[in-house]
Amino acid sequence: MSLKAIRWGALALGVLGIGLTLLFHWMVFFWVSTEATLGIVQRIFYIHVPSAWVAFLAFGIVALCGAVYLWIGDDRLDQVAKSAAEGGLVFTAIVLITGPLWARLSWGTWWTWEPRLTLTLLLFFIFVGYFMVRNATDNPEQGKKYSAVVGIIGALNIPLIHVSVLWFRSLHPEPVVARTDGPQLPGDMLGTLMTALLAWTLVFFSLFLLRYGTARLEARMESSRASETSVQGLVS
Amino acid sequence: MSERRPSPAAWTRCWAFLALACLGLLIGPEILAAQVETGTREMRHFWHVFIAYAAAWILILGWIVSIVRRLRRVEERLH
Repeated sequence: MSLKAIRWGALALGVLGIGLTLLFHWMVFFWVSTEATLGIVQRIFYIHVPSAWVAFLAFGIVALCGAVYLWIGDDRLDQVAKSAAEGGLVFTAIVLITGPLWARLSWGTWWTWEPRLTLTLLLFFIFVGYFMVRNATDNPEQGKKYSAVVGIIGALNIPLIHVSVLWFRSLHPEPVVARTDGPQLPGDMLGTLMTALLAWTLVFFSLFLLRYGTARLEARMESSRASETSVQGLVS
Repeated sequence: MSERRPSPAAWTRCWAFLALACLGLLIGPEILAAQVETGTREMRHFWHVFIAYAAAWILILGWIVSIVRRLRRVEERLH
């Protein structure tokens, strides 16, 4: 994929994503009905859940590309993984900020060490570690390999986060959408959630593509600098 | 005389301001209506919702700014 195509793809997805984001904000604040028990604060759900979905998607990409990078060693896969990991960290941070804001009013506490919250915080720190490991070694190639391993280990946490509410005693409610017997949400709430999911996914892919394009340019610059240095070395 | 063009950072600031203004326009009337109709408990709920959405946007805009700054730096070096 050429850099021009990446930029145009990012722009197209960005425009679509922003349009859908405006639509879902309108739905959240003016259209969807207020939940009877939790009230207004339940509207945080429409940004909390899509952010978690996007974070899991991003870390899934990191693990997949990391695994293939370890196998075939193509630098572009490492750049994809790095770009996705950055986005995953941003969206996990959103989950970790919006969750306590909701929990304070519905559970009466900002934070509790229940399984899903603890595992999500762990996921965040694993991917902070992903970037620390990359920059901790003198040999960049080694850093890329170590971070790919960290990315794969981190993504193993994702299914555990999903089933934690079923396996352990948890304050989090059981899944209301991803159920074997179908979603348990009223139509307007489900519609708003799905719009938000799509909007956030498009916004993520737009920025992810832009970040990947930048990483490709950086790699190109590094390689041209390295070849210039070797030519100068040969001349002198 | 060379044509003056705003830098990518200026564009980013402009878009960030516009996004926050749109968010304010979306939420503002709801908050005002809530002040008239409901008490402080409901207002607290509104603040939590407002902070949650604002924090999400600030984080995303932060990521956009970091990408644009990085891109500008690389392009400056390449040219």
